[in-house]
Amino acid sequence: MKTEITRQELLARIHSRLDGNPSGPRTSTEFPDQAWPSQEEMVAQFVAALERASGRVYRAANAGEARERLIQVLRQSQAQRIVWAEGSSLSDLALDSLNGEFHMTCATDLGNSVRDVLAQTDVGITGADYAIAETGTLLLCAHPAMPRLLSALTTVHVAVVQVNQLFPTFAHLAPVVRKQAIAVSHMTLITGPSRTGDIEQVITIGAHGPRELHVILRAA
Amino acid sequence: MSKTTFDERARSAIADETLQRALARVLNRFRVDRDIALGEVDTLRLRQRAREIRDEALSHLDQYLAQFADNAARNGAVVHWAADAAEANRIAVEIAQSHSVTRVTKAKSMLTEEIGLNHALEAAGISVVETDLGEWIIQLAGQRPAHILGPALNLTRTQVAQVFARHLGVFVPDDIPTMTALARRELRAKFLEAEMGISGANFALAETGTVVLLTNEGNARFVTGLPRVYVAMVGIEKVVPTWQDLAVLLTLLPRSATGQRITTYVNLINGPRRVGEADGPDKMHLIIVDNGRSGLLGTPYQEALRCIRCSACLNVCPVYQEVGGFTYNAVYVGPIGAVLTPAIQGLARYHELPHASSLCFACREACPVMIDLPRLLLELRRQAAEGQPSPIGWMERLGFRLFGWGARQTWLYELAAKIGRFALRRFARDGRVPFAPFPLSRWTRARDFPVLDPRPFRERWKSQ
Repeated sequence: MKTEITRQELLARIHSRLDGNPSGPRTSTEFPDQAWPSQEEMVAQFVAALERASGRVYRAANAGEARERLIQVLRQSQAQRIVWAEGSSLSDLALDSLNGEFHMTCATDLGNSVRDVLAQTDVGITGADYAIAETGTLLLCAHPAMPRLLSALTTVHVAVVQVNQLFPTFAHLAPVVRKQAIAVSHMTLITGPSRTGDIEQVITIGAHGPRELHVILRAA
Repeated sequence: MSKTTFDERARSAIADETLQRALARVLNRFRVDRDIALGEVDTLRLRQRAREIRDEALSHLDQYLAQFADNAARNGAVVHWAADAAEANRIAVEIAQSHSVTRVTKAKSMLTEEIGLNHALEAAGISVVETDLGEWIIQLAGQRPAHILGPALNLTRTQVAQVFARHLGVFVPDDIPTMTALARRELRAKFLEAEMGISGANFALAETGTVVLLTNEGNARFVTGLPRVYVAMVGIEKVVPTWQDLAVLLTLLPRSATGQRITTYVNLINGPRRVGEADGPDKMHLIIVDNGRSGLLGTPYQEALRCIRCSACLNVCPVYQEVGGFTYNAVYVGPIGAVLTPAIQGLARYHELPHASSLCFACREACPVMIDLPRLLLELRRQAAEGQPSPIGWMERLGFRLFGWGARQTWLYELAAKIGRFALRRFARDGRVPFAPFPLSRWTRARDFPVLDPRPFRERWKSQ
């Protein structure tokens, strides 16, 4: 490739511009207001915030309730094809046994055809790595068992989240995810279904990504 | 570049009733939602922190950029450096060619608008599809973005339906959900066939080399996740030191922009697909672009580089609200555009823009990173006036010197005010003065002059 400006040249240009123009010291590097609300408060906040962002939230007291709720959501969606990603919040829901009623595939069994299969998949079921109460947000990290497109290409995204995965705000979560950041190629924060307001600012759901986001919030 | 002047474009924008309705609706909605969302947080403290974060990044920009580039390279991205638009475009075209790419999808990026990347790719025979709904509409219509966030917000649903019908060759009802579904279908096919995706970056996290992208539609997830090659174009000023810093900016940006607490999606991208991962790009390239930005460092305009492109200043600006985006005839519009465009692309060509402000300070109050926009606009005006001595310059100077002298002679000031009050009343209609003789005619050509109270303030004050 032809040589352009080099890194050294550009950085030197910037450095010479800044010379003798130091900024004042920073007053703080902490985020203001780092209080931890109770778990019940966080749950209430999460539900309200996600519903405001057009997501649906259901609470489940145990694995059985979570499984029942999941089955209801899948029936309502009339899904032809469902793909799920293994995760700790899903491991005790016996998703394999749903294969009789639904056409279910585990993401790790897709091999090299992930893209093609997901483009034809109606419902994606995932866990979440973390959740943020203030904004009703899920954080999903890409990893071998968790294709990043599973929560993007599908029409309906169902996430099963445990209450002990809740953090009050992104600021509380930032130091935790910072440590993981270099270990994964990609993280996504998700707050509600895909939306657009690009025509006359009329909010319309389902622009490119999922048209529905269902979150089953289960007790730990 | 169009041959019309700012005033001419402003006049036709003001006469355009459809545009006026669209502007009023859109900006009002943004402002109301923003006030609600910012009301929930400690806005002043957050703004001060945000300002410090941006200043910290800018005043050690060489160090943070190097840190960002090193970490991104460690994550597996190939890092390129571009001094200007031509270099950035050439690098992008060469990346596409070296990977035998013919089809590109793009997530909305102001930087790529600024450097004209789409033209460069198309000139090399590479097809480019914008995938943000608003950006796609204006790409089909062949227009410039009218607003930083909603590029097509100046168009009505009927106009959008016409654009779709003309370019897609199908009948399209002017129903917004139907049109959105149509765009979803059309663009899904483009996403799946593209070999390369290009995005900008809302933030470049130095600490971990992470590219941060905010979208509501989710198009950036497809652009960065589906094609085998992914290219991120990052302006040098986008660097943010730490994840804690990102938390502050992530709290302020969506709230200041659309009034959302957070956008539907935030992508945090750390390089190409890792071993064992099922999807994601095989290759990731980063192009770090200067294009005039470094020239602002160490000048009074450095603080304009704090901008995080929230567009709050557009939404509160009484001038933008009247004239809309096209009148600026620039990539960056509104108050921040009136500063950035001449400061980066040259005052000689954009000398009109700093005057597109009433200096009401609404932009300064709205800015989440506390850019002193009115001060920068005045500085640009001063610079423009110094550079181009206009023929009325000496008249203006003499006029103001006379005024300065007269205003200091109490008897003369009171006499002149009395004559003025009396004379103006002769031109009044319903308490307003729609037309007044020269030199006031230059004012009344654009707006009414108020009728002055028969008793001046000084008199009323004394009689209290």
